[in-house]
Amino acid sequence: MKQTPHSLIYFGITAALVTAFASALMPASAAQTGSANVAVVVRDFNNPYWRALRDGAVDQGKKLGVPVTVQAGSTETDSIGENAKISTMANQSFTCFGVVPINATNVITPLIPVSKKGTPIINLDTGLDAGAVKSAGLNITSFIGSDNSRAGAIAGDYMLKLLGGTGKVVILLGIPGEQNGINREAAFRKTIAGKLTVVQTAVADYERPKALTVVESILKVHPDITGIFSANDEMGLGAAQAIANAGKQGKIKVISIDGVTEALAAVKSGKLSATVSQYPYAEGEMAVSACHALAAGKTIPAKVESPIQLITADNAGKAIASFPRPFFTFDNPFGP
Amino acid sequence: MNDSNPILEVSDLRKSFGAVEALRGASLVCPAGEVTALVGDNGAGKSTLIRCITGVHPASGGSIRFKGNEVAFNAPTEARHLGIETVYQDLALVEDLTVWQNMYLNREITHGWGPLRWLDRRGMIAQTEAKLGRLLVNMPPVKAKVRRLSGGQRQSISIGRAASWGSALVIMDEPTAALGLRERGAVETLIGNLRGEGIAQLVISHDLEQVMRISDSVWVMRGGQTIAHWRTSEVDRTQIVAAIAGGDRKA
Amino acid sequence: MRPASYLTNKLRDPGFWGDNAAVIGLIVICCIFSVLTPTFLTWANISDLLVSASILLVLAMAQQFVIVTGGIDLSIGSSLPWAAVIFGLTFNSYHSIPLAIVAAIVSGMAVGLVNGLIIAKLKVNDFIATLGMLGVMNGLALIVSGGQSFAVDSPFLQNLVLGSIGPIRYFYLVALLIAGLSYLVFTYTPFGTHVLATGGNHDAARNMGISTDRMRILVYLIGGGLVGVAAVLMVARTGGSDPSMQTSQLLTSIASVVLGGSSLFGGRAGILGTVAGALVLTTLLVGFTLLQVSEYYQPMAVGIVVIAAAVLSRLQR
Repeated sequence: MKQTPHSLIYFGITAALVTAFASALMPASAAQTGSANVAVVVRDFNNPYWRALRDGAVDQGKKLGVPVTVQAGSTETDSIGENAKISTMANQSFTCFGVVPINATNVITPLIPVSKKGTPIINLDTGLDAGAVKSAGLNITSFIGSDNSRAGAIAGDYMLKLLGGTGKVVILLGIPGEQNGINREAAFRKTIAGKLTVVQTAVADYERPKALTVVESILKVHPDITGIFSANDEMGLGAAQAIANAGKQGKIKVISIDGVTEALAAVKSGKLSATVSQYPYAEGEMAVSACHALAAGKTIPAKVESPIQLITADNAGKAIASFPRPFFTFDNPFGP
Repeated sequence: MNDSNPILEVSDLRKSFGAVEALRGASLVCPAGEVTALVGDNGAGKSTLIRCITGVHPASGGSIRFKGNEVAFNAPTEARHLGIETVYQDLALVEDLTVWQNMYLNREITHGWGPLRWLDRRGMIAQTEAKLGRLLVNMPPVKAKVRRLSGGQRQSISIGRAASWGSALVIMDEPTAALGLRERGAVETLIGNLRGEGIAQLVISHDLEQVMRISDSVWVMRGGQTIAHWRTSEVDRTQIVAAIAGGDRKA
Repeated sequence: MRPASYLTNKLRDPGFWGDNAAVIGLIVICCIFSVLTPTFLTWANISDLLVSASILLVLAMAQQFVIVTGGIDLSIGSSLPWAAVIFGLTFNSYHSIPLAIVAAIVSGMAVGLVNGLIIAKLKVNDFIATLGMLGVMNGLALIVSGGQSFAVDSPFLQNLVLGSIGPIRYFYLVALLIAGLSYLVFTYTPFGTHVLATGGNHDAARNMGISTDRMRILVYLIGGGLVGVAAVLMVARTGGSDPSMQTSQLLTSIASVVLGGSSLFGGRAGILGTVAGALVLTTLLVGFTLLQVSEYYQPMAVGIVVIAAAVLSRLQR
């Protein structure tokens, strides 16, 4: 039989499709517009927080004329995916890496080849374990991120203010073992110690539906709570919904951390009492600025704190208007 | 005909499942080198009789003699050890395995010992070719997956396997029921070849023409009992039909 | 037959394409990527690609054993971090890599044993049973680790990830060895044949005297042990144990096996196909990263390729 098997046709189609996709989406020109070429790796693109970081990096790259490539794993815990991206990009000609780890150690070993080439590495958002970094012989140039402990303390202070210094509260935790969440919780507890009583701590994996279910149950067991502290906005919004469903809106204050758009709107409308806005957009901007500075031969500080801000009904409007950028000036070592 | 010590002799076998009496006195004689046909309508007890013979169920009464010795099987493996093999209606072949893999399934030839045994593939392939080649007229390639074989070829392989391992008695349940004319002929030729090897065969069949063609004796069951048996050469179809449906007894 | 005409006859046979869909797919995809970017076909990139695929490869082998009997193991999503936690705790307490490795493998096998017993003896459907264990092991990992991830610092492990023997990195050497051993088991041992029979025709296997219950328990046991090995690789690569590290590799491990030509109903074990399947999925990831394909299109393109390969494998003999 001389006829072409259908299989060849299938493959021809697939090959054509893949080629079409790939070539259609390749960067328009590979011209080197500056001596910097920045790689940023975040956990995933599902979480609006990391999307904001990506957008900040990309926008700053355009402003400075620096090519910026952002890649990510597929979920909050997809270490295999994130590491694969790092390993692959390590073989390309990037001059600088900005990396958001999933936990305190997961990107250390895959980054060693990058470090060995002398390429600067900037640790973004979630801190790496200093001891592990040192014993691996990894060279981290700088850390850019918000101080999650300070965010937790700010939330604690405001909760005390809202509840008049006394009352029963519940804490919602994110993914167990995730360092930022641990820092936020610890600082919150320290701030309210002796004044407010934590009647229950519950895990909702940073996810809204889980938080909703969990809080619904909690309200039945502890109908007399007056405040909920949530380690992130998604869970805070879920908690707020559960409270509204139970008809207790306004009676239970909800404070969360992150500062995503929906949370800002919820603060403005009163559904959420407050959020501590972190500015991943600014983190991304500063990461690219840092790489740009390094490429120009300048030195950068070993630790750069990105801004955080308590958002209440008073300033929510301003926050929304300038989102994702901060609506205030902050200490930016790389310029205004 | 040599009727001293037939391979299998079942006398007045009874089997009850609780209150239900499936066998109420079944008898059977399978001489070596002969094809014995077992016929009867649905529900007559043929399958139950077979299961008692092969050790799936222990009988409630009566006796089974194998090569003259009284036996009582508690498990199919015991029957197998004595050389009684069954060709099941679904053939018990694994489609994605090859002919030789099916041939030697759970009886693989291996090199080495203990847990570190590995398959003697070449040995099994050669042996399968030899064993089946002797029995089958149209042997499919031994390395072919069973999935690629026709119904008749599969039937032949299954019978060939049973005959190779079953040195004494091969039991077949409706061996050609699902086959076309030509393939049926091939299977019947195989059954003929096995007679020549001295193996006793017990064949359940609804096809009375076939029974007349291939068997040496025919036993009729009805209502859990054996109600008639003849040498095939001494009986005709109408008599058998009458016995199945419920007619005269003839010794 | 002359080699040339043998080859062309093979190429004309749709069954050949179907049987080897994953391998063919891998070759085609690699060719396309090498044309589109010069970085792809460099030894450094191939080497890193194989390293990135290693954990998935071992998990796919674990899944392969179970799928061959017609079962499935959804619990590996959690038994992986579980074994990683046990490995990390053992190492941090006793500072012995061999002991920790044994602990990882045994902890994985323990999960496999429970799975196997629930499925074979309690007759629970494998999907449900392993889904339940997915949750149980998630909880156990959190309990045993106190909900915390922790670092595991070992020069041996770092060497495992970064070191090589000649041009061959240890990391993927382990994975390839596991694949090779699996192939040997399925092709050259009676156990392998019995497992294939159990999956291919359960009743036939039982009628031939194979203890199908024992086969089903054993494959879960083996799969669990392999998850333990994958956990060691995981801890080495990520520098620590994380009870919440639920990688998305569960579905990818199943996809690799099915992509490689093994039916989800059991009875077929295409080790080469499964390896190719795992590599296809990783190669797509790597290739799209090199080409900076927008992240919106990546999952879609992967999905299209997977479907195309699945359609092709319908031509299987």
